[in-house]
Amino acid sequence: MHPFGDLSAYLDGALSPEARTSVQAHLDTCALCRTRLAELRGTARLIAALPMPVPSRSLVPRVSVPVWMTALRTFSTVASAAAIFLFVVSAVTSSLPRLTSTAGAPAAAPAASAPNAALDQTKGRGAATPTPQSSDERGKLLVPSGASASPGAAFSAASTSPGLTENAPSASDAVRRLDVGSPSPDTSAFSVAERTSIAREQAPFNPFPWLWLVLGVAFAALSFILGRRLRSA
Amino acid sequence: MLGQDDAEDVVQDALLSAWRSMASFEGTSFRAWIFRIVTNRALDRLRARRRRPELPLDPPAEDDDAVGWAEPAAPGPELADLAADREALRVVEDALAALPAEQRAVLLLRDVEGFAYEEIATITSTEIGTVKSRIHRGRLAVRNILVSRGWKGSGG
Ligand SMILES: [Zn+2]
Repeated sequence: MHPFGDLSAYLDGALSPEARTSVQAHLDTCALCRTRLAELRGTARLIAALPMPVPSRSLVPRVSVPVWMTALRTFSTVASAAAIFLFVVSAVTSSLPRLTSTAGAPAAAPAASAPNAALDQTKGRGAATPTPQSSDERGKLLVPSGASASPGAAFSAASTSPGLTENAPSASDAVRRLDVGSPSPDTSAFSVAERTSIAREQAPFNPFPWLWLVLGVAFAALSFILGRRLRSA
Repeated sequence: MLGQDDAEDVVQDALLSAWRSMASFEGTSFRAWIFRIVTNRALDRLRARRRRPELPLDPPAEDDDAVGWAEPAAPGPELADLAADREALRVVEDALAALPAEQRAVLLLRDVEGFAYEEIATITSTEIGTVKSRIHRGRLAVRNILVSRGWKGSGG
């Protein structure tokens, strides 16, 4: 009897030692089984030689993620980078006037003689973080309007009160307000020098750089959290 | 038989599933584990697609010796037994496509992927005797089709 049913397993070396010996012995005497075995071997080789289909698309699973999540994450990353950049910029620029202010009130005049530079500085900071120098600048700009006060002057005076210094408008704002011009009594009470020195005393340190840093860290954290959600989704 | 799109879906699906269940991997062969997931997904998909799911993919096991060996056809265009012969490969492909899914799966796991019978039993969650029977019958069916096309399995 031909062991046809075992020929494939024999070919694959999957028979038990005894069965293997038995099939081997039969093959030695049976030409038909040798032919069958050869056919099966040839078939297996053809199957093995089949061309592998090439995937037409990426097989890495695509996870559907809400669009807002990726968008928000991108925004957060950019925002954190921008905020930290602003921290560095405002930290550097706000430390410059503090260096010059050590020269005291007389030094204010030379500094103010370059108004364009001061304007550029405040513009560059975007959110108009005032510095003692820009206060000086505003003061000088107010002087040509004479003793008669203006809303800009009023604002300048108000800005010398504690806590409000940061909210002072940019120098260009002050100039625009000068054009409107309506009298206000209180401002004449302070000389320019007095105002600047008060401003200097009451704003010994500019909180804005730290605000940017905190914002930057907050955005970075948000970006990180969203990134993890995206990966685990 | 699954189309290319289905096959890619299955692989994607399986990769995702494998990734999620990575912690549960404890076998000795990572490759066998991956193939187990992919094979099962593919067979599940085929089962779900069939109109009459009560029919088994694999016909009831008969005595393997009862499976006939077709005799070579009358002299005709002879298929070379070179593996590179495109015509022969096309015939093999068609023959495989006509096989029951389980037979085709084990045959590919054996001849293309080179897994041992025991590994295939693990991959397909079946007995080793079932694997042996399916490989034999699948290979024989392909052989019969080739022979009926005038192929002579003279290759050593
Ligand atoms: Zn024999």
